[in-house]
Amino acid sequence: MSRIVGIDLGTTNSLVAYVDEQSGLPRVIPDRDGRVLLPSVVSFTPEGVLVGEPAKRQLVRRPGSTVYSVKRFMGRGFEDVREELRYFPFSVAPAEGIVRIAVGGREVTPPEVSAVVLRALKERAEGHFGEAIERAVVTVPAYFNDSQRQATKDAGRIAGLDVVRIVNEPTAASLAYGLHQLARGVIAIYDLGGGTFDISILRVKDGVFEVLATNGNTHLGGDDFDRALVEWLLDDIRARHGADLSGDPEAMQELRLAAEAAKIRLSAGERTALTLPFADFTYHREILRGELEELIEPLVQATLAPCRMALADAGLPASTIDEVVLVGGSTRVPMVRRRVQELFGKAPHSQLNPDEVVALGAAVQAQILAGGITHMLLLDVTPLSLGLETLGGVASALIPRNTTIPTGARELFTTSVDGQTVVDLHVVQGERELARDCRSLARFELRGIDPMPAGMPKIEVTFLIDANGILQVHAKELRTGKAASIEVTPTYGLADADVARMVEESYAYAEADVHARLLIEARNEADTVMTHVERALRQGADLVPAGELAAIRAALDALRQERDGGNTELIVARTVALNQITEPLATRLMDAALRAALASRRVAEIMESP
Amino acid sequence: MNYFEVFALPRRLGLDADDLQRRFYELSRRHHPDFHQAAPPEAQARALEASALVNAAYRTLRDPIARVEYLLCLEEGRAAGDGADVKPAAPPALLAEMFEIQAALEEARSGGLDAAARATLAAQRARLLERSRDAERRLTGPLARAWDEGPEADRPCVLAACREALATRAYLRTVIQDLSRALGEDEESSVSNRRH
Amino acid sequence: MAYSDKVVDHYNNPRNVGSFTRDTPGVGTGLVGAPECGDVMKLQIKVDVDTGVIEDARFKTFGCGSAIASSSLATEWLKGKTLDEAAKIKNTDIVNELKLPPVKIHCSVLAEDAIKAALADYREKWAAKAADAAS
Repeated sequence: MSRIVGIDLGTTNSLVAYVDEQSGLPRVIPDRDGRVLLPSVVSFTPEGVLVGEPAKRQLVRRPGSTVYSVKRFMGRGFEDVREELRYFPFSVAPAEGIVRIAVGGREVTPPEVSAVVLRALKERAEGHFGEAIERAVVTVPAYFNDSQRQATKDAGRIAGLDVVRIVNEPTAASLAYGLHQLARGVIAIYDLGGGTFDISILRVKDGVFEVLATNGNTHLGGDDFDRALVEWLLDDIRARHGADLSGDPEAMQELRLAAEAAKIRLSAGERTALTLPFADFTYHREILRGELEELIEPLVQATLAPCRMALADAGLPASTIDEVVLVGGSTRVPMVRRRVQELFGKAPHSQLNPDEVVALGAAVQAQILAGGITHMLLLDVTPLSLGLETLGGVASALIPRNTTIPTGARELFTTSVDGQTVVDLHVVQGERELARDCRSLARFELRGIDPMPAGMPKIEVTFLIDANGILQVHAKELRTGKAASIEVTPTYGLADADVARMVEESYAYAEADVHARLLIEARNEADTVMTHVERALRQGADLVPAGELAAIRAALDALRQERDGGNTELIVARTVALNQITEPLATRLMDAALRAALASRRVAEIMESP
Repeated sequence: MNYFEVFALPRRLGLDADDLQRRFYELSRRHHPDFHQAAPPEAQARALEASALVNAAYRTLRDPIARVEYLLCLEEGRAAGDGADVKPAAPPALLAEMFEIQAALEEARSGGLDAAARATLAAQRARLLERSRDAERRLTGPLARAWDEGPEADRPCVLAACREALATRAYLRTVIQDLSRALGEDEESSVSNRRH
Repeated sequence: MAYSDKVVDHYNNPRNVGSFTRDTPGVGTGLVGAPECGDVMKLQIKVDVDTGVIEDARFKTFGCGSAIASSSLATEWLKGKTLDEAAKIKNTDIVNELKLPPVKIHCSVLAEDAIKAALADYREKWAAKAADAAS
């Protein structure tokens, strides 16, 4: 049997980890450049598909065909994401069923985009071990519903990975902590990532990690902090420069990246500044931590209600929690730590790197499945109630939320019309009373029922939620003992045939060898640098002495000539050379922009003062 | 195999929570799919079924009230969740009271809830909650002991009393839930706790 | 679908919701509950004391859709029936008419219980008087 790796497929970054045989400890696998985090960004360029850092560098240059935060779209429909689409520069087709993103003249689904990220991690692991990697444990937010989990499994399949287990992120984190003996008793895992929030309450005892309750929000994370800041900056730019940047995808991406960076700096410092040179003006702004906190306060508050509900479902008051563990990059925000501490009445900790701990835990679970760890057992729960649509559109519960998985329920069905041979079932997931307010998972058609008078057939349907939190349905006609065939139509999922086709297509992509991809990356990087230099020369040619200008032009031409050739090393070398030779120019431009921004601000301040 | 048999326990209502948990962990280690990854598909399917049964049994037996409900099902020879054949004669006064509260609640709601109405509803809910706890205490205390320790001959009576206490609790809980919802304190009410 | 149009209609547009004053001559009241789920159902009949025919019926149910639909249907059926005919209404008739799935059968049982209770109440309160009047 081949090795099983653990993968954290994150909204912002993804990682791959394994358990080291000698030490028995989980380790993350870095890429060739020593970087552990792979940005979950995929860019569909005319040259080919880019992933990770090279794709991230395309965010501003190709906003329409560079996909990020795709995890927010996994297992969802157009209506679910319509609200937030204005924050994304790429477009989503208003169609029924699964979300389809239009990039570079074609449509891709979220599982396909995630598959590109997974494949990159698979290759990273293969490079590390020098052997094929075909199986993985992949983590998902605990509050992911069945469709979102299934979409994650599909992504694995498209990437050529058998996802042997879907593990909840907070639970995975608890495994990593448990292995290091850093958590015991009743623990609360507060996991705030780039796009999702989870809270899980666990009892860790005798090597058993028993999840007592979980809750969360799959649309709440650091991305939302960034958006709040972006909105605020847009207003500020409108007020100060009279410009509305919201319709300019490139400017919006620059603003988003700058906001994200400023947010990160404000976790360590009390104040920060950002300077953004746009085409018509340069925007400069100082931001205080207090200003950011005012913006994100409602978002941080929104994480507390799920915490209280999880405690209530676990039947425990906050005071009985022995330890509070923080997971996810967004828990670095001081206000988050403060609010968590207030809620639980004790200081939360995060000894293990909150960016890595989920991947490390996935590796531990992988090792358990491989038989390498036998003293640890994870007992997780299903986060949402599973129900059937019944009379008047009411959701009738089959399996309540926070039931330990695997779990099952049996229900009897019959026919309502004489001679009826098909029975339809609509399975939903959620906590709302009406089926239409819950998440539609799938419609099941029980077929092949022998024609009988109405009410005579007795069809026993078994609903099983497996250890992945994914639903399986079986049906049997009790009189005949015959298994009824079931046709499943997932509401927000890919049909099997779609997945099979995508697997085929992805093989074609995989066969483009590493060299070809490096060449694509190099060309894109060259294009980015050349665009920047050309723009800089237009803006500030007068800032450059004649000799330097000639040298820059020469380096630019040299790179342009090489760009379409097949020599990757030469393209990289010339890109680096162009970058170096333009550094003084970049510095001067930035200084000039800053001076201009400060000057204009001083004027504005003078004008405003009475 | 019934839930008591799953844990190799006699049909008793007084169970030691720690002992039950120890048995649950032990069985989970034996049956959980994590430990059967390399097994052939049929064995994996069996592990899945067995593990689901262990989880269901633990969920039911660890909760002292669910335990009584389950015991009644077993003693009456019906599957869990099916309607009882032998219905407890609902105390007519209780039914009338619940009906009146529901009707009053409906009226209050249609007229919009002012502060006074809310206060009345909240006080009513607190009272009903106390009565529901009372029924629970009766079930987990004297009735459970009577079943476990009393003479065999008393058992039908004990079961009948359990049925009545459970029914009382069910009526009270329904009304309490409706009151809570009217007071807007139960927005994300779980489907699982809803009727049926 | 798993449910007939009829049941959905009775759920969305329940017939005969309301009540009669208890002491109105000829009114029989049945108040029953389902201990499994805490539903309560009140069903009333108004009988023509001279002919013994049910003139009108009302119900009020606090419960799930199937319970509401079952009692709604029951009141429809009761109207125009004699007391003896009314006593013959069985929960299975309601199940078949509304195509209730097995898990909801206890709702129809509740409706049958309510009919029986209302008839008993009528007999207790008024039948003797009706007999007196007739003699």
